[in-house]
Amino acid sequence: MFHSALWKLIRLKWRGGFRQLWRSLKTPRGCVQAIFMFLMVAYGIGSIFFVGRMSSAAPEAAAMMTGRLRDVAAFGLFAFTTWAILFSTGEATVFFTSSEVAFLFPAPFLRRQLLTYKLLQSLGGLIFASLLLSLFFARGAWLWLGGFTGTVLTLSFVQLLTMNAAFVRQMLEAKSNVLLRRVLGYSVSVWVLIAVTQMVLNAPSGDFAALAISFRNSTAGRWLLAPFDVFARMIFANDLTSFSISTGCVLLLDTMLLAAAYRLDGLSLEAALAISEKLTARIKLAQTKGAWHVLGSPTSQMAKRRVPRLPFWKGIGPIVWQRVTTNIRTSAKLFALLGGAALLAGGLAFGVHHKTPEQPFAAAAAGIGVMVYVSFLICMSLQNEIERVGYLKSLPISSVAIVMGELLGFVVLLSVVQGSFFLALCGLLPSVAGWLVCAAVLSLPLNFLLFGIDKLIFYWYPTRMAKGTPGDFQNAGRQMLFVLLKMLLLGSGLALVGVAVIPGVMLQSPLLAVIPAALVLLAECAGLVPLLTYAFHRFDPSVDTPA
Amino acid sequence: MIRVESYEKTYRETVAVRGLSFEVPGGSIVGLVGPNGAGKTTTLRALAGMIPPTRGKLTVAGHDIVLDPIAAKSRLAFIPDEPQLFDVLTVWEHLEFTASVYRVPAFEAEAERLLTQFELTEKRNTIAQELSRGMRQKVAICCAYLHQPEAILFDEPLTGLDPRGIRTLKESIRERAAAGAAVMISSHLLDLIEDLCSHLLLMHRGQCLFQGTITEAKNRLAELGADVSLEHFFFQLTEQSK
Repeated sequence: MFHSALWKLIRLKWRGGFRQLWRSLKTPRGCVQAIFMFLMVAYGIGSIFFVGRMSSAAPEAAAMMTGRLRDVAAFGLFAFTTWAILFSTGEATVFFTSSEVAFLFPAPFLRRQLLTYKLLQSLGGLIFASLLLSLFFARGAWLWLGGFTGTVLTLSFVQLLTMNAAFVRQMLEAKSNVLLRRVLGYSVSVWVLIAVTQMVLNAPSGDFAALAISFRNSTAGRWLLAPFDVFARMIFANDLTSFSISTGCVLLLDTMLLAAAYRLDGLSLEAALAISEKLTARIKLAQTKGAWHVLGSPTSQMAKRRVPRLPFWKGIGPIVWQRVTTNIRTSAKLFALLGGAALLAGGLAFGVHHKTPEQPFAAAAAGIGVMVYVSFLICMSLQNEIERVGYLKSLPISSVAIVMGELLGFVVLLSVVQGSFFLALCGLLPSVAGWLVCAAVLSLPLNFLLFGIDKLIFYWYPTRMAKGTPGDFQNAGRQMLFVLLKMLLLGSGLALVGVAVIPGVMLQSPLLAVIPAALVLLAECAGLVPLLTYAFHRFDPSVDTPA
Repeated sequence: MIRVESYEKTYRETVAVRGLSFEVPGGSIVGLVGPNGAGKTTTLRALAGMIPPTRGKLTVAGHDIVLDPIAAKSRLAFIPDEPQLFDVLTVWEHLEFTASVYRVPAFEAEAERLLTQFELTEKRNTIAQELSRGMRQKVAICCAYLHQPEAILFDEPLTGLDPRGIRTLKESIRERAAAGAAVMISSHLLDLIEDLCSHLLLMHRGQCLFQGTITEAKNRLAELGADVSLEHFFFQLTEQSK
């Protein structure tokens, strides 16, 4: 029996959410953000329907598109669920916020009541996500409502499956020894690796659809994808009969998983408490120190990674030293990502060079493009530290030195990695070595400009990372506005660099390209520093900046 | 009211609490003190039913927290060290929800009284996100008191409170104990323990070093001819156990 207080809590939280939304809509800033996001969503939905109408003019094309989606949907779902189970994202399904822990755990609730509360609470998010996804599937679905219901049931299936897996894992952790768990873990990893290798080798080409079909046609794939296939059949059903049969199977699967979750009764308050504390700490870390810090948390062992003390340099030295030390101790996975990107960029450059050896410039551009894209990716998801600004302001160091130190601490590290990659690429593409050296030289000012613009926008409009809630139009609108502003400023800066490079490219002279480009970039960076210093100077950390 | 028998809590190889036994009768206020990592919060959390004991028996008002958690939890309140409220809910909604959890009929009058006692009347329609830390702490305390718990567990209750808030909380704790509630307070503030508590439970590395009344603790020091402050007693016992 579900406790009435938990119903009340769900109702109160929804009411509170709407109240907060309504209150912020009364401010001009909140209103602009909501309208912007609304327009973006309207544009997205409109474009889906527009493409839908276009494709309905050609029924064969629409049928082919639907068939292709159906082919890959089961595999995509399987891959996503496997990922969620292997990498413990199932923990999120039993995540209780710290306020829920404080109020609900010592209160007289049964564990099953808390589990029901968690499932009901996530239903809102599931329905919202399904609504958006079903708009995309609507073109291929026989009936939009069928596609929507199918998506809700599919997402519920993934959630219930990962939740059950999390419960089983918790039970194993409590009962089995470390060695057994490691053996099991390694066995599963090796099995997945072999399966993925076979799938890639058997696929006629490297694209996702070909991989999915190759896996589906294998014996193991047929068995493994069978439960996932019914979901694809339901969403993309052609007629009432197939829709009814697949819906029956889907409901049966979901009910079985739900019954298993209750039967296992695996919601251990102790484990949930540990998960809550871990994830709350991660969210706090992401909100205060930045999303990338979540990728690696410092341990005492990391203290071995040292950076030599730098000269004072009017205060820039200590700030850069602190930043670099923090980065090398906490961003191990970030650097692993950069290493992975370098491998991908190298592979891509090698591939392009292998196919078109007469065009080494294209190969170099492919490699450079990937690495520059990674910079953009990091910059767009980088979170600045509001709490840190207060600390920095208390230091007896000038604003300009702080601003320079803050930027150089990360930019130099990133540029060293990228520059080393570009120089290493010279070995593969000696004919365009000049251009690659230019890229290595320009990576530092380019990164400085990129991250400088990001910092400038942050000092102008400081925000904390907000935990997204379904339907939070303002938060999403704000993030999109910031991305747009960053792109606009950066685009303007790079357009000038592009103009400066033209003579060098026309004359095929790296030197004529890099010198004006470097000069323009340096001028832009130099212009950015006083702007940043002024913005930092007028930044008021006492002003509350929620979300 | 609160009874702990041979309580033990282990995390893999680490022993957080080892063979702890004590009793808190109704009407008494027990100060739970000890250095960081002594096992104080682990003990309180186990009593609140948030973590299961590895061994031992913990009962609240005669109900085993593991075997009969609903009955035990209905009679206790736990106030954690960090006041965790629902950000989007107002102060009054927190009380409304708490009344619903503990099935308190006609809670309004008691809720109003608590809001007045803790000077929160003006904030009743304010959302938790807009409250200061001290006010959040007061809301958490009001919620804990609403269902008239027979056992109250505080983990560092004074953090963030202003002098008036501290005085109000102390008075309210004395009132609750006088009305028959068993109160446990975990704190590093030895002055608070000395001022407020009738009993002392000193823990170190998961073990109990001393339990008895505050007077007994002071008498023990007086016998040795030493300074009879609780602080001195604390350091003497914890240093000895090293």
